[in-house]
Amino acid sequence: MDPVWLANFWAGVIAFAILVYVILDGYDLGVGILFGTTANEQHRVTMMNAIAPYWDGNETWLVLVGAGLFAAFPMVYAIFLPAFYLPVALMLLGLIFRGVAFEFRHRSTHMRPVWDLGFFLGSLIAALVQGAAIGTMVQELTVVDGRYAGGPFEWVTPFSVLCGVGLVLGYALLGAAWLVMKTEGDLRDWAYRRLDWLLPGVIVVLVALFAFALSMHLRVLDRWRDHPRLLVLPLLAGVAMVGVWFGTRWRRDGVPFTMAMLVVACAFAMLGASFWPYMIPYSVTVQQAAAPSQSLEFLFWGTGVVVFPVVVIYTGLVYWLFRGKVGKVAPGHPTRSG
Amino acid sequence: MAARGNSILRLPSDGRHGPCDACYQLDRQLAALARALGDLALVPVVCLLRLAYWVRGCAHRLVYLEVGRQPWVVWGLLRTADAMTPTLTGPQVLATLIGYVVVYAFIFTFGARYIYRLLREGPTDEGAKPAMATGHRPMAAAGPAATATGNITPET
Repeated sequence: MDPVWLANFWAGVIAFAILVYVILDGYDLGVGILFGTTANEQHRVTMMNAIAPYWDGNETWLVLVGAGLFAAFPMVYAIFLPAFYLPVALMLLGLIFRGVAFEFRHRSTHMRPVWDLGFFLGSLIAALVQGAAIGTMVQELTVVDGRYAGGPFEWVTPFSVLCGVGLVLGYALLGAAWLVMKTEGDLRDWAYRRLDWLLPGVIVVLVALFAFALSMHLRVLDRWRDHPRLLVLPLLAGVAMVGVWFGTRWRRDGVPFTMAMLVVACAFAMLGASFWPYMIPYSVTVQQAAAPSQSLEFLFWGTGVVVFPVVVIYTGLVYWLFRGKVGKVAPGHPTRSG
Repeated sequence: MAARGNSILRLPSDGRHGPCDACYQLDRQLAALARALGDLALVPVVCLLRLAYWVRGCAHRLVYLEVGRQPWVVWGLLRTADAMTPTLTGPQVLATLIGYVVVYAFIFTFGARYIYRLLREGPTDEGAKPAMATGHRPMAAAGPAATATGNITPET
């Protein structure tokens, strides 16, 4: 097989997996963040039920991204993980607390506030760290001779932290849109009210980030100056945001989430368009980072043709099985009977 | 790669495929202890130890595997010193190691307590019913997936 084609194929698979991860784990992390903003026990139980069947399946996409980078683009893996050693460890610890909260909170009595706090903080930290990592990549990592050469805290800058805050709000928006789609009654109205200010919040942070990028003369801006046709992407994202707003205003339960997914897809496409063909901005391209073509071909027949479709199929199956509102419609969906 | 020097292929005791003397003795002592105490808790320990050396040769050899390969991480190809992440420092590794140990110790303590409490309470009537299972739908006995989180009881 053509090595250039193989490397692009794997870059495509990993890009797709990142996009799916950001949408899927995005909304369930977002629900975890919103969980911390209410003290209503009934709401908290329903919020957890609204993501219980999906959340760990959603996180397998992150595993697919990590394993895919390790196998197909070892150079990127070897730069990314050392650069983000501490935040990735922090994220894992957060995800551990988040994961056990699903099992522990209903079995605990006096410890419940601890697991609830762990659920909220775990979600918040994961979102913050992921946003900061994206911001750091946009700012350009210190890479010398194909290796990370910066310090342990290069990911903490005003720009990257603002990116982290932006992703926290963005995930919370996805989470609120998910709750609107999957719940009813008081909680749905509560989630609609959250959407009312989450959407402006996200827009404010995005504008601030854009101004920040302009003031720092980030190299990424050149790409947009040279290729004005790419501006169709932010335009589409803007239209989708208007869609979220109308969906919220007209109380159409399915619209905000669908439109929010479109916003995320556009934002991700913008990120890809900003840096293609680089995988690590301005230091490592897709072709440079690719593993030997024999490895990629081996992976193609194993992971590409077998494992990847299986992940896609079970993800689809879970969402079909648990379709509809929480406690209604589909027989397998969480109900609140006990 | 021939079995030379500290290669992993050099066996710790008699060279046959089986437990070395130390592991064999330890296993016998544990088994005797389990019989003497009559404690079911030691059974898994003995089973695991047996499994470990029948699968991997011998529990000792796992240590030989890592120590005996030094200074290589991939024999003859990549030295351990060259495989190190250049920017990673000892304090960073220590910080994360402590983090993992503390978090896991905390969570396992409470996890064990909750499991113990569940065992003490014993099965409830509701859990004993085979839900909606029939001869044609045996999997329905598992109930809806959300029962796994414990905040929902199977619908009957």
